[in-house]
Amino acid sequence: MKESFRQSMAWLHTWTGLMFGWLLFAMFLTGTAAYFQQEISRWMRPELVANADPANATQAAIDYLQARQPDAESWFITPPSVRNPATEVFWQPKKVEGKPPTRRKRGETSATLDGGGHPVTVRETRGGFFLYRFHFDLHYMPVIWARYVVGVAAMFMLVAILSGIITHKKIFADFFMLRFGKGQRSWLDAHNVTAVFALPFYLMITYTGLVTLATQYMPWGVMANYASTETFFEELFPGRADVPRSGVAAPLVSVSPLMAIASRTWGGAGVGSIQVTNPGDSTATITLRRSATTAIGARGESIVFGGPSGKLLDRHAQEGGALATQSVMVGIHAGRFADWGLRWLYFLSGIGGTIMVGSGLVLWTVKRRAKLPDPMQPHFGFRLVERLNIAAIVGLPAGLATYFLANRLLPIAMADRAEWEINSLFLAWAGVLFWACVRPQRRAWVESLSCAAALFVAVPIVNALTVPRNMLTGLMTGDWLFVAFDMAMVALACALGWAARKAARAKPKTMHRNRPNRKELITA
Amino acid sequence: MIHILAICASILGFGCLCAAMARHQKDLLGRPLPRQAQRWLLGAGGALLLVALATDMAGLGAAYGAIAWFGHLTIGAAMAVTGLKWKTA
Repeated sequence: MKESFRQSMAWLHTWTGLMFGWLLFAMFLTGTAAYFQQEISRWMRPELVANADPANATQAAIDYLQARQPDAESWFITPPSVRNPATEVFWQPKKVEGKPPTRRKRGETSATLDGGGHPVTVRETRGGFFLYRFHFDLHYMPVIWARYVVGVAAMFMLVAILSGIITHKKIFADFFMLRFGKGQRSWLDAHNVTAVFALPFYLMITYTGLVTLATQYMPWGVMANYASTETFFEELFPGRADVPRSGVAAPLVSVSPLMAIASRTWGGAGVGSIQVTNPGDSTATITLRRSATTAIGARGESIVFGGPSGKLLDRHAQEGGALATQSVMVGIHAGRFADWGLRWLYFLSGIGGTIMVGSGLVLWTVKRRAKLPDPMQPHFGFRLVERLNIAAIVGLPAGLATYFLANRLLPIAMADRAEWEINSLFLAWAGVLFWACVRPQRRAWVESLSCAAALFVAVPIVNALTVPRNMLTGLMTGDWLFVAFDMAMVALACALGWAARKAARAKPKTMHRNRPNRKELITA
Repeated sequence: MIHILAICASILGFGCLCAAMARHQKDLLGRPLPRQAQRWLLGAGGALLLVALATDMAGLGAAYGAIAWFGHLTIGAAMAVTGLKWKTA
């Protein structure tokens, strides 16, 4: 049988969408949440309050490191910013001769400081950073494999977008078409509308997402020209080669004048991070990197000063056209440059993408249910898709709410606390999968959606009971983060509750059989 | 402020484009429009979307403005459909 081009594209769209839809839904949802990763991290570390002056805080952090880690290989300092009130420091401990560097736990080589350089006791959590990493590193599996899996999914997302554009033949005629209460037609409308309205965003985010890991996915250019990937990266981003310590002690200059010089050089842009190598030695250097918030390009310029002299040693600003393009693509993907207005636009577009993938997954079952030989007794493949849809679409939101709840409820002193927050996310997710498998599918939708809604309602309540900062205190003291977070939780709970209500009231799909407008339904 | 202006221009633009389509005229306006009016609405809709782009670029710079414009288009189209659904509900 000869198929038309459009039909074959429809087939491609349907099946690539289904194969990777579950994973793509998770990537879209966590990636969208990652646009607010700093805010989520701040909410998950409610102990942090004060906003300090970046230059003073950096100097205080250097004094702290000088007192505690004088012989480290290097120090890394992230000064406080508008989005993160704490100074984050970590260090590379001195190498021991003849002993390979051991993997250390995060807490042993890092600290969170306040503006005065005093360690702050914060609950152990990976915060919003975990959601960011999950959207391309996944969890419970080696990062390198996760990135291949994610890359394949993203590649097929691109295939699904392009084949979807070809399949959807009436993009302009149906641009504003959204019909409710018409079963399959409504699902198709919802899928089309969410897909078309933010189509440039989806194309951009999928393509630039692949670009972020391009050297892993397409290593052949590098392999053909360099002995190893390390030499490639060294040539690409010339850092200062490891200089051995001279053994001559020399104190570091004060850092705030250097930060002022750097900021002037970059036209007023702030310093995003500071690295000190060989601290306390005459060979020490201080490298300042431009903050990623001030330009679209993700890779900031850097300036290197001599540690004891404060003399300008080096500047890295010039990049070739290819590098600059890559840097801007990664920057547009991650949106680190975005202010509040742009950040919300990113977030809303991401939510649109999540709904697009979710509605596409549901559409697959809705479309096929009416055509089953016996709709009450679907075959195994159909039942599998049905259940996995519930687990993917409801399971992860339920998991996110549980992640936030675990942050408030797990004992502060618990061993491996941060890991258990993450485990709770996946336990809740697995719980929804289990529920989806043992219950009739319609009841499973209603019950799991209601449960997820209840979990999101519980977040502001549990927060108010366990932490002194919440929506009310936020409104009174201008602590807008806690106001916005609680409101976001309530909004998510409302959306999930609404979906549960819709699912409970939906008429069985078999009633739509043999309707006269079947012809219209064949597309998609 | 720039965001609000651009979003307003975008909603109006998509509103015009929607009103220019015969299939939505009954829901949106209660009566079909003559051909001439449709053409005018189509032109006005397109022009308003360009106004949104100009607003964004003037307010946020060419690069940031272009990125924001796509977001504002998404919101504008979504609001136009919401308005259409609200009228027919």
